Amino acid sequence: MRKKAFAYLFILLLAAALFVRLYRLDLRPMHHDEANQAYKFGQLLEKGQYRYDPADHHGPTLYYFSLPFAWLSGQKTYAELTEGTLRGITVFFGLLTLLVLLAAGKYLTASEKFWAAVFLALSPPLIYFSRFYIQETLFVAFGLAFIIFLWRFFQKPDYKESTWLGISAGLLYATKETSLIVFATSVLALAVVWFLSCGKNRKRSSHKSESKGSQKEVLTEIKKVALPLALAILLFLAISFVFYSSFFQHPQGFLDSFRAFSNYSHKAVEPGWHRHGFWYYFSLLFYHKGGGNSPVFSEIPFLLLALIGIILSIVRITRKNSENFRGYLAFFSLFTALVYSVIPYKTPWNMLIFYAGFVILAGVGFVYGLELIKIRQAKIILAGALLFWTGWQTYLVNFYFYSYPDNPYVYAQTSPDFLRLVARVDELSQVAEEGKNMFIRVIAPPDETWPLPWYLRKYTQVGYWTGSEQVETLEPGRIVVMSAGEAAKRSEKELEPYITQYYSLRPDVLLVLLIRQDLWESYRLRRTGGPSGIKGL
Amino acid sequence: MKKTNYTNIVGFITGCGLLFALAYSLLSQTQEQEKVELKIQLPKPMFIGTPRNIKTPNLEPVTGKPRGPFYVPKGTELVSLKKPVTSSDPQPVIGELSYVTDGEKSGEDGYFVELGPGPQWVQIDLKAPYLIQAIVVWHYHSQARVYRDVIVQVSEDKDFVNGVVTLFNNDHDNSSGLGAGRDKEYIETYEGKLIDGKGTRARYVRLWSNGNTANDMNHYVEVEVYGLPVK
Repeated sequence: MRKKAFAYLFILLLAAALFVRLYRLDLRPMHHDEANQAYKFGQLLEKGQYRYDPADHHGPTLYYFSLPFAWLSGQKTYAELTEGTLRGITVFFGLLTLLVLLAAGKYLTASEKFWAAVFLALSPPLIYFSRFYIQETLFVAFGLAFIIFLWRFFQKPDYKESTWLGISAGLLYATKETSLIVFATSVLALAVVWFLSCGKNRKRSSHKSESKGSQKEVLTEIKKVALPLALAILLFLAISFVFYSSFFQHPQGFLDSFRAFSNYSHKAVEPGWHRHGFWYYFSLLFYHKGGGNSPVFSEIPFLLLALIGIILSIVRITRKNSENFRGYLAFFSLFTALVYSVIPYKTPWNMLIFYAGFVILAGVGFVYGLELIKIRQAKIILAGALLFWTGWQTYLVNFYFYSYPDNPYVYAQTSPDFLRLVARVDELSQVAEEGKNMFIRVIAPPDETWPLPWYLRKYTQVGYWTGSEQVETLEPGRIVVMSAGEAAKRSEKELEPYITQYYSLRPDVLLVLLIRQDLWESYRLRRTGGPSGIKGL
Repeated sequence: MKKTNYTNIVGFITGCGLLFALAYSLLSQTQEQEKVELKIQLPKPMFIGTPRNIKTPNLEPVTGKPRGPFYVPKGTELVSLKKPVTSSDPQPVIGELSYVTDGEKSGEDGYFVELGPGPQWVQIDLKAPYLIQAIVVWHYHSQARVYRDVIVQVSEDKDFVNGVVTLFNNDHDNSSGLGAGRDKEYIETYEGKLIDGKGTRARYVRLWSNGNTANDMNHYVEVEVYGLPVK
């Protein structure tokens, strides 16, 4: 592929990737986790407060990188933030992943890079989580950068490569402490490829005499590598420290990030709600069909191409190490997939880091397939069919079943019905004299509270109680939001002055909206265009 | 007699007035100072990790207690079994209208009929007038759901133009256009929702709904009508 053509096509691809990620970005209701992250970011935006929490929420890059996006959007408070601004950040890092691929340089052919970028750009799960305000897309971008720069450093251990390696490692660690898995599997993949490559070298040189100066050469090599490697480690520590210490405000945060290992290890083996079997990730990707008339969701074409890519990449490991990037990527993806599959704690977004590797290898496999096919029309038909399939799946995953459990990537997702509750509260606030200052009582356990704090962010008088026993009386709340379980604990007499309406928070989780009769009557009068009413509220 | 010194009186009154004005202004200032906005520190939301991705095949009733006994006159019988069913959506997306009265109440797939979105109804023809004592409806009970705007009407007119009696209506905002109701919304459970028929004489039973908390579709697993034959 010519350089100019590659550049134009790549720009076109970026535009397509941007469009498909930005289109109706606020379509899916905010997920519990997104709302949590948004709230944490809101504190940083409004008060400049952030302190790393080793118990949850992962690293701080998401929040700090969100700041310029909020500033550029002119949003200065939590209440002013929008879904578009927040998800715009993860969209940006989704695009950055494509650009990072270019850093693979000569280690992949232009065709391989192009097709890998096409598949990354249009991959339904990667798009889905690019539109999701959690750390995962940043993790994939920095993770891919790290594995590429580790390889480059391994090939050419100079200061330039070590700088990139240190920066990417620091950002990766500052995004998620669990990046340790990626560090381990990438180094292991590197070692395996080196070992296999050396094996081929040994076979070739077994008939020749052993080099006498080999030990000396190794020592010289170590000396050459030591200083650049030290620089990489220094940069890694410095960047991690800057982020985890909240830019030097809480140095303890850096140490806490190491303490978090025990917490996350515990979570990994005792995952509670999120325990899933070994094949969980592959079952999501291979074949998934919801109930009733749900269509089939599958990444089979890409998994097959990835398999071809993996086999080719491993079989083609040569004694010339610079040609073995594909093999290294294959081992990295396989090892990482294995580790994540062995860990009982599983959520769909955790597979992105190894699935991105598979997608790139699918690009490698696809280019090999194109080389085998000699008829031009057949190549076009194959590429067209693949693009049609991924386009169709992208539509289903991101724009049709975006919030429904039929979609394999939908996990503990807020139901669209929840937005009706938000709309109803909004309508009622237009009737209440206090407007957005009206008192709203929320009584629900934390796992049945979010994303309410996001959707009620413009209301100034919202109180959150986690249990019914903490609230003696529902008064003076004219609007009370309760989990169905907590509502069942209140007496019928107490609920009598309220209109009761149910809304789905998530499948099987219902919230009860209690509206005091007087407010409801005012609302109804206004809705029906009564004496002082406005029609069409 | 002593001469009245008007200058002193005017001076005294003016002085008192000034003192009163001063006292009043001071007092009101103090009162204003005391009237500050009461700022209540409301509890902030608590954090917790990713919640459960729920898929429960058999759901416990959320509201806890099982339904108590419901008393009907002796001789009351199930009069809806295998009776013909019509609907505002004659070609359901999933299942068949006959499921509504086939006697199967399982919550699993294959036992419910799915009608289109928006307000939809199913109607059961009991083939003869009965004194209706109770109607039990199962919309969909393998998931905690609430069906919206549930309205149950009975009539002897198959077109529901004349002699329509509404037995249940929880359409609070009249979004279905049949009039606002005051009955409470309820969570679907395996027990079904029992509606008091109040001994109303009718041959046709029409049940409305308008989507549910999980999606915009309307579902029925089973409807049972219990009545006394009209003599």
